[in-house]
Amino acid sequence: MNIKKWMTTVAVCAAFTLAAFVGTASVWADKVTLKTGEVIEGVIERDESEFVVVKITKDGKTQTRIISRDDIKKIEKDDAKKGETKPEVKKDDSKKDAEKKPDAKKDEGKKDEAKKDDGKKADTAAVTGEKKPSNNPRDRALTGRATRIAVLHFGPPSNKQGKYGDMVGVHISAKAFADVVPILEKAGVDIVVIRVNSGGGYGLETDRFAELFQNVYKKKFRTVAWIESAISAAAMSPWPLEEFYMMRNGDIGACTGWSGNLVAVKGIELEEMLAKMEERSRWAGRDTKIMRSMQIREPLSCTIDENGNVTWFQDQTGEIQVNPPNEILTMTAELAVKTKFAKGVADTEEELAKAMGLTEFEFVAPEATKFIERYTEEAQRVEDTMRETIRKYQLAVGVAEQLPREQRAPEVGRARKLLNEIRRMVSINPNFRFHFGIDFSPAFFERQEEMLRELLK
Amino acid sequence: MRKKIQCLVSVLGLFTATAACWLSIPAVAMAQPGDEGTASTANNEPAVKEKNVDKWEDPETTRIYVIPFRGEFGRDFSQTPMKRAMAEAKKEKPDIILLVFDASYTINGETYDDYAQLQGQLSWDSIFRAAELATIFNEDFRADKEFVNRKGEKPRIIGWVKKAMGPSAFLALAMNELYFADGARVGGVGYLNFLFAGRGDEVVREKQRSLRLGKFEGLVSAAGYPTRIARAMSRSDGMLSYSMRGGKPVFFEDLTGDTILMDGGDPERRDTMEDLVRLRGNDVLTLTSTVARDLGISRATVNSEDELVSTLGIERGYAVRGEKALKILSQWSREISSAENRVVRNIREFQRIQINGRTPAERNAQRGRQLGILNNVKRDLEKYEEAISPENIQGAPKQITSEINVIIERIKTEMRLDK
Repeated sequence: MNIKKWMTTVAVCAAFTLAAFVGTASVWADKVTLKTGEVIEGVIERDESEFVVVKITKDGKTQTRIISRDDIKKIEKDDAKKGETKPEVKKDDSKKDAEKKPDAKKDEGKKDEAKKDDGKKADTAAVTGEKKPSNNPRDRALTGRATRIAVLHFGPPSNKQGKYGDMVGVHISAKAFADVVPILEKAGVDIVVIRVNSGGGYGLETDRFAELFQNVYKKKFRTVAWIESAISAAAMSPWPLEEFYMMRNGDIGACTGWSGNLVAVKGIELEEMLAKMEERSRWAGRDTKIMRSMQIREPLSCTIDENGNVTWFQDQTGEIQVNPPNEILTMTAELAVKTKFAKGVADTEEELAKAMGLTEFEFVAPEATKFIERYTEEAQRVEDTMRETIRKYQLAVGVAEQLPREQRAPEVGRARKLLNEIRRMVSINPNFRFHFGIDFSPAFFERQEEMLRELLK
Repeated sequence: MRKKIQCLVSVLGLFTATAACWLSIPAVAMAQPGDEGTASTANNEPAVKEKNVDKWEDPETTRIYVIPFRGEFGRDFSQTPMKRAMAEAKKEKPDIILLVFDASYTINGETYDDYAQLQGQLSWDSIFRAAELATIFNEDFRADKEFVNRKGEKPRIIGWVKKAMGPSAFLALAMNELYFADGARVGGVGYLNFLFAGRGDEVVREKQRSLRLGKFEGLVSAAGYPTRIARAMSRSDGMLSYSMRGGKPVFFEDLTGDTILMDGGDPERRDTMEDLVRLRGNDVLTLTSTVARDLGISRATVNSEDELVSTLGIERGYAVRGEKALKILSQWSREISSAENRVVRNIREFQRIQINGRTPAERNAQRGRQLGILNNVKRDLEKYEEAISPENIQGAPKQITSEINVIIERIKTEMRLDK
């Protein structure tokens, strides 16, 4: 080792030791007294509404301990550090909000759930001794940086006043939600919120969505559903997600399959649909009876025991009546929270973040939000203009056919342009191949091209 | 050239035929609810009575801005005029926004008597629209950080209900601070359990009923009212009564309570004509001021702005404005009626134009006139799409616009080839 390198090493070590010493000096500044009487001294790294993260140095080893706020009797912070703990201010605000709001009680269920989760995290942290990067997207709120949340609109919100359609498989496409994943990843998103407002749509699209959410989204992000209205296919698509939050006026259910003039799906097809949704319920760790009452006319009730465990009954024997016999279930937010189907109620993004147990968060990836919105807008344009474009194409072809061969070129050119427009519109969504009453198969386009060529011969 | 034109006529015949559905508008004079401003309501009082306007600028004055909803839901009050009225209110920095519901029991242009409860089924197609319109006073209002009073606080939004029968009932019950006037009635959304009767399978009919009721229950619940009220107003196959205990209602899902809200309507209890015309029907629930107060939906019964202000506990002076909002809403109603009449007139005018000029230039001039008229129709349809009644123009505005686009293409093709 040459002298220069030695000097550098010493300097680095000294700096490190000094930093560690300075750190240690303030380690003992904060005291957390538990309800059990135990006093924990250390540095409060995060002070959240649901839990506190304390860094403790003991016997030269540093540990991070996460303590549920329910277990805490008292927190004493070093005066010198006052002003550093920004989340404290937020926490007070949230408490005030909760006091002001008549629905504060409704959030209790959600808080219980959050506490359970945090408890699990606390146990894990205590065993491992320190925070380690976790592959579980649900743990990313504890990485020390603000949690990055992206919102994707599964159907336009009601305040768009019906300007764009909300049909699953038409205006809401699994393809678009698959295509947006790289954008979400690039933006470093931790939580994806699927904000649902749709009256339903194609059953086949629910399969694509369910697979996508289960096999892609849930593995990459903490993915939650936030329900304004989730009817039929719009409820079945995000069903594999574990976490549902409701808007105060939210509703979810009415998943009966049908076609034509209100004709129900029956027989083996119905059994397939029921079985499929049972599987998706299991993916989400949800009782299969809930979705069953949304699909067919079966009563539903539940009982919540003193530990908060919910037992569901496909009859009326439970304490809470959820669906009467002979009706199809559509649950309101109130009922969804009461029965712990939903983890909380939120009308705004900020309320949602709080309901998810976050205090340090930022809403990011507007480009991802926009990507999905643009898809919906484009699908609406296709829906509005496809039939018109088909008729204009038929017009151009008809006119070309009636003209002498030498005068056809401009009309054929016009027809070809319209055919290309139809092809472009169909390419936006695989369902558009069938949606307009014509099978826009590759063979269809080949036949049309051939016919246009023939017109010029 | 003559042969070419004949060919074209045969090709284009197809398109003329497809357009016939909307071109064949009957030549009858159409009664327009908004011809005289807005549709009639039981109440003939002025919709807005401005008061103490000279004190408006006084810092001690409580500013009350009135937005009156009269006429037909979705037509006389739809999103555009409602948003404009709220924008007007925002400029005035009010302390209270008073939404006065005095809507007629009008659905799809037909006005019914209050006892016509069976027509309530027709209201249900508007439940989704009601949920959308409610966002103007809930989500949008909350999200607008600049919509504040002079102290920078959020104004209170208060609903004062004189009448909200039919779809307007959905909207009224989405407001969380309501006061009813004596004689007020909120309802006309019953018999949902008969919706789609006779069509398809019962399980699908129930699905359709469920998703509509779920939406209504969601609105009612978010406003802080019991969802069982929404059900009692909607379905005639249940029973609900209540008794007051310690100033609060206790509900019974049978007829044992002191006041019966709805009695299930099975054959022996079905409302008779005598009951209905005397507004005593109870197969489904229609909220009155007394019942609404008992159930905690109406905070108090008030019959004037003075009474309301006193009930609100506003002791210092107050001033009421709202002429501009009234003007916006009345003007909108007139514009809709005018636009519908114009669309019908223009389509007739389009039909009258014969393409019979002797030269291409003459014929194309005639076609040019056709194009001008069609573009005018399109403009009206696009501008007033949200409120134009399909019944009055024989088709949905969006579909007619699409038809017009194809006809315009056809005419342009004719012009291109007729040279």
